[in-house]
Amino acid sequence: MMTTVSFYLLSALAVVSALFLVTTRNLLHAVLALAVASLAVAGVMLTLNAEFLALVLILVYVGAVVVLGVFAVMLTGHFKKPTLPSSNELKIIAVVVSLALVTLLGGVILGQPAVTGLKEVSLDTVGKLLLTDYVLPFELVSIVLLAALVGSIVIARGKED
Amino acid sequence: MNYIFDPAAAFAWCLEQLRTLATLVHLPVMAGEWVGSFLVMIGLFTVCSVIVMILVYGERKIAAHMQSRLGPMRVGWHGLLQVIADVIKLMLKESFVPAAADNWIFRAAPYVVFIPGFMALIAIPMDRGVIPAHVNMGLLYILAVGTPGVIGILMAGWSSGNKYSLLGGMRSAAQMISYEVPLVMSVLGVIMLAGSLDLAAIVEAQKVPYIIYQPLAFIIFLIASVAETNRNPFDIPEAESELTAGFHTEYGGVRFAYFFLAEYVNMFVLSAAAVTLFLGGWKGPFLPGWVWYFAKTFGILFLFMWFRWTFPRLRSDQLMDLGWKVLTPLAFLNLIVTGLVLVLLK
Repeated sequence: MMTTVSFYLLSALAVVSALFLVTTRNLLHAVLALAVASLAVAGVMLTLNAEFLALVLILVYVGAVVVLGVFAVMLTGHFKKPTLPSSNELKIIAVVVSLALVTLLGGVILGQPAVTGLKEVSLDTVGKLLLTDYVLPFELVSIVLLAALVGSIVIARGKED
Repeated sequence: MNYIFDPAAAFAWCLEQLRTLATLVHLPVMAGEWVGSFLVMIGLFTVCSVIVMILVYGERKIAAHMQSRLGPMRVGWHGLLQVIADVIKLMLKESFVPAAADNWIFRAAPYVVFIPGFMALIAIPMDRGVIPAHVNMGLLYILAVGTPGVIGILMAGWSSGNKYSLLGGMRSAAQMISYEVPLVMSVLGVIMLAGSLDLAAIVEAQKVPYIIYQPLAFIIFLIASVAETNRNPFDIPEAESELTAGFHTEYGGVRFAYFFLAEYVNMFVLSAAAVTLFLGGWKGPFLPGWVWYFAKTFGILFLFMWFRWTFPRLRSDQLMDLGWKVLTPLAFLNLIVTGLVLVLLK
């Protein structure tokens, strides 16, 4: 009962803060809204017994992504008056891309069989699966991260000579 | 009934009484649990505040004696009541919001800094069976819930509308992200030895304190903890001589008190984590567990204070060099060696 109530409250919070995130003109407020949304989603995962996922979400999104987001806003020089102009030149493309994403994700999610009574998955299982069945995607993600790291260093160093 | 030496029973007894109370006034058991958790939180908050008061008094006295001074002496015996007087003073002061500040973010920031430390504290075992909230992945939990504190500091720094605050907030965030890497990496060796993320299980697994097997990891953890709490020699975020007081320059009254509280709670959490992971937690001969737990934790806290009053402040670039070029590679090395030894011994 309590879990159900928490689930809906946290989901509502996630949706509201996500809406605030995309509608606010203040970039820093947007980044903080992302933090609230991530925490709310982590809470939703807790109500679904996905402890590990919830903690990793907090660690990665709130601990790293949001902080880096704040840094990015500061580096763009918008920190004195961090407001965006009120027009978007890529309106049509934005609508097409987001609709496509919603269709794709919605299709995948709705295609899944409904699951009831989720059981807690132990960390042992997660670890073993990551290094056996899912070792290829796991390694692929590492390479993508490494590429991003190298790329950011190259961009940050600029043209020295 | 001597509960002094059996805190586990005392803890269980308190919860039981609360449940009975809840059923007596015809609350459903569920509500009883919620009321129970709420009261436990209030109790913990009180314990937290008392610990912080002891730490503030201790810090002032230790600092004073290291500098051949006496420290607070006037209020109460040897200045014992000084902290209480300070708290009353802070609570009576006006809670001021500067005109240039971003109102809501400015108001929220001190709590965003404080709550993560408090949330981490509830998952650390103080004695066998005495954990306010037993989390299966306790270690991951304290690492994860501790992270939003950085956002609070950034919020404070940015929303104050003051260049010193902004610079302090940015420095602090950069430092905390950098040192989180060696902090987390140094802990992995302990996880490999214990084979669990459950803090109570990690303590039980320590036949000998893990500092014997993981001395390097312990040193890395300790240095990274000092950096995470923005204390000397890693206190450029609030370097007085250049930044006034860094991210909390514009704060006064109760909100300033919360920043203060947060700093000491975070220190306590990291020391308690060091004790749990490397020094055998509540384990020790003769004395009851919680006495050992507090003795060890205050021992580490004394180290923190000792560092603060004896080391000079690092420069920004030295700080980053130490974090990324020394501690992080050493932590990886420790991880590889631990893994190799474990595989070879199997």
